[in-house]
Amino acid sequence: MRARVNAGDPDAFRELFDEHVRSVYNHAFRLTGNWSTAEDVVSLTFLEAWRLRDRVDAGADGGSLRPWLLGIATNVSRNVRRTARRHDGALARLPKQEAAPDFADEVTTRIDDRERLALVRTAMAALRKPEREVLALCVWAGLDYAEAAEALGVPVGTVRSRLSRARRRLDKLVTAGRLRPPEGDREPHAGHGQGEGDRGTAVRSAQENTR
Amino acid sequence: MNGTSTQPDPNERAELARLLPGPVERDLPRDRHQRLQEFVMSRIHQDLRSAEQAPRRSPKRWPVFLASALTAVAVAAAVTFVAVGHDSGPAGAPPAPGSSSTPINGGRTMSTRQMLLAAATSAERRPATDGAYWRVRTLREVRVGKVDHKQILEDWYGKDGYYWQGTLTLDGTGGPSGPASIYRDKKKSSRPFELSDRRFTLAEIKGLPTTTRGIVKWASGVARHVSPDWRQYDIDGFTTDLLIQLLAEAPATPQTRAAAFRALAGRPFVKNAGRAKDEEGRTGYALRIDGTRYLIDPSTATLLSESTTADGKYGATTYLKAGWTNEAPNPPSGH
Repeated sequence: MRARVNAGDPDAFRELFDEHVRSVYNHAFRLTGNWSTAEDVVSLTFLEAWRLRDRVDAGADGGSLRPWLLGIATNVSRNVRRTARRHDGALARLPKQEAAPDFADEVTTRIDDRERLALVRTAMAALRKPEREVLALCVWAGLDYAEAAEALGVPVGTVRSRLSRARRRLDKLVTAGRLRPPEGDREPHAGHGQGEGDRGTAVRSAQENTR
Repeated sequence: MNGTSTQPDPNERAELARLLPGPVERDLPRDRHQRLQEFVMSRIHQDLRSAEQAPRRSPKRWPVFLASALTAVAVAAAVTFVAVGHDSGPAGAPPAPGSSSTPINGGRTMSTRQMLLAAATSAERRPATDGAYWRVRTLREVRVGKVDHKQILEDWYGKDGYYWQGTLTLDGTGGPSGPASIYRDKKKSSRPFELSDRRFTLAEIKGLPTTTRGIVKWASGVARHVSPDWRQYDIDGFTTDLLIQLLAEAPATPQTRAAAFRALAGRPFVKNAGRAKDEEGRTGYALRIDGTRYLIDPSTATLLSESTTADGKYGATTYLKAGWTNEAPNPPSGH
């Protein structure tokens, strides 16, 4: 796959899209808080991936391209309009969704989804952008420190310190009663006998890999 | 667990998982999946065709407004600021320490450039100060729907290398909702000053260039080292952000601050956003750079606040105070 992407095989990009669009879409939502913007980020991420394809190491032994794509998505999310300019304003010609359906109106029947969405937004909004990015990559997208560092183009130590700062900030939010640790709320997602220490990550990674 | 592992610290991750709501996950709706995929593929094929015709394409770029909610806040830039003289004294609002409420060029119009150059002149006139700690007091507000979250944050950067952060959470009336706290970073750092997530020594900040060209060169030099994947757009954006963070939070010399204001006057994508008030009711001149609004008071050469609004979510950082102090770090008090 890496070699085909590097060589600019269009079919490889079609497969890449199918395989990782869910990850990119959800990651983008976590960074931008907006499903419609997340769609823009999806388009731009794959256009950027095409533009930067020669930076993919064709020789690397089969490692997933997901960290690379999430890194691009992170950069794109930082400034959607700036990236759109690079692509000749192509996005303006992409038909928009009629009306972005609110998450709670969607197919889901989970009663607590709306509340959880509000909590996610509260948590993410309280963090600075760099912290939000490492949190989304390391905790929700399940990358390890090295992958997140590679994705963001920063040293591993920076990832570690940002994550640690994010934890301190969230801790304070919880202490202040602005963010409730979602105890019962997590069970339907996490109640499959995962160990306490890594259940969140394991479950999320499983979700990410399913489409 | 150990200091060199590249695996996340299991405790840290468990703690984050405990604190965070579960992830919101959904699939791209099927029709959108197809549409976006076809869109991307058509662009790729188009790119391949044009590469065949002209192997050395010249990059063609022009600005575009996205129709997404995130950019709905963007408005066509007005050509000038209109300074309304009697609008400059917000009732009951405490001015920034040491500020004068004299409007610069009051009553007449001022372009963004003129405003920034006026701020540069004010910056140069302000005396250099000193102390044991560089203290930055900010009000951070996040409003999501009806949930309003306000915190006073105080950063204390010690000349001794220790960094402290104090926090006071405010309730709906602006009063403290609990006791204030303060913590000190366990490690002593020789690079305690953090701007745009880059760390600097005090000597580095004090020794920053004092010319417009010099300060831009410095900021873009830092930007170039952030990521090997960044192209000029990313570097430009980071450069501007760094100049703004420098003005907001760093103990730079008056001459460096003046240079940074002058540099901002020449940055791309800076748009005029008229006059506005910050969370404290202080009036300033607003700039908009890619969705973020910055409010500047040219008479005191200070950045008053920065704020963003997107999808019903409002976030603002109001810079209440930044300066040297000989006080020992202590938990922040309310207003």
